[in-house]
Amino acid sequence: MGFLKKIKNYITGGAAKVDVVFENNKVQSTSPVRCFVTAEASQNCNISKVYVEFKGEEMYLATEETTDSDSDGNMISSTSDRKSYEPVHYEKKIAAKKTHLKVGESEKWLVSFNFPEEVIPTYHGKNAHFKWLVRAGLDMAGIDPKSKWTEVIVEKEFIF
Amino acid sequence: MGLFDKIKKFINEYCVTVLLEFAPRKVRRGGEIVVQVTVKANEDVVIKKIFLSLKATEETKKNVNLYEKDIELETNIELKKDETKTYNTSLQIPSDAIQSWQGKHSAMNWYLLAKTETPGVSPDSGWEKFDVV
Repeated sequence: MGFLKKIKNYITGGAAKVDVVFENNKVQSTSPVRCFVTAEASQNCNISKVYVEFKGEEMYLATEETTDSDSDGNMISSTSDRKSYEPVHYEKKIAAKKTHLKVGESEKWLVSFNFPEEVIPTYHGKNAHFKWLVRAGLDMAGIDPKSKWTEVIVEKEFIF
Repeated sequence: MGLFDKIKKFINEYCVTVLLEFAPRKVRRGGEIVVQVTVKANEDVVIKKIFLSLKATEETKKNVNLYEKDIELETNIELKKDETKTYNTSLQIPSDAIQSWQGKHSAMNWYLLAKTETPGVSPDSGWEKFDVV
């Protein structure tokens, strides 16, 4: 591999392709979320940690008030709607430590997370949503290669 | 009763009382709710329409109804003072209905209302919340 390619990977996190694959894309809130983290190296990788992040995030429409002044110095306030994101739960687990991947080599790790007691189920609405998301990354020199945030659908069983 | 008294009554006091009762308060999608609406006349009155309103509202700073449906119970009826009329019916929740949901800053709630259309104010039961799961 060329020197320039190595530099590019160093600053873009392109040294490996990382993905998260769920055992089940839809789970009950009483069951754990089990997922495989896969990594395929595009250059030799000395990985100090394979980490997995798990979060519950609520998006909702909020009203924001802004104050500005016009050319005459008069204060003008206005309100606008904006999307607010609030993390409701965050957890990070280490799937592996001090591991090495050679060019073209791939590896996978199984990780599971339990939901908190007061779990909010998945919701996809118009001006609001609640998503449970998982992302994995390789802790190594330069920018960490990471997967994108991947959603798992969480359902809550209601007791009648 | 003088004209002024009539106007005062028209504004301040509902000519009918609307009572809404239903069960269950937690229903599965595709399930049924049994509803009873009682309309009591507080004076002689002509009611243009008695109906149920069903809605699913996503509640944030900007509420939006994701589902709305009116169900007509009866039209053009006359009730004498103290006369009571009761309607028994059932409602089916669509099988693809969005579920009730409660977040920290937003919510999705289902509501039911019994309403009359009478001259002037239109008395109703007030929106009653229930859960679709």
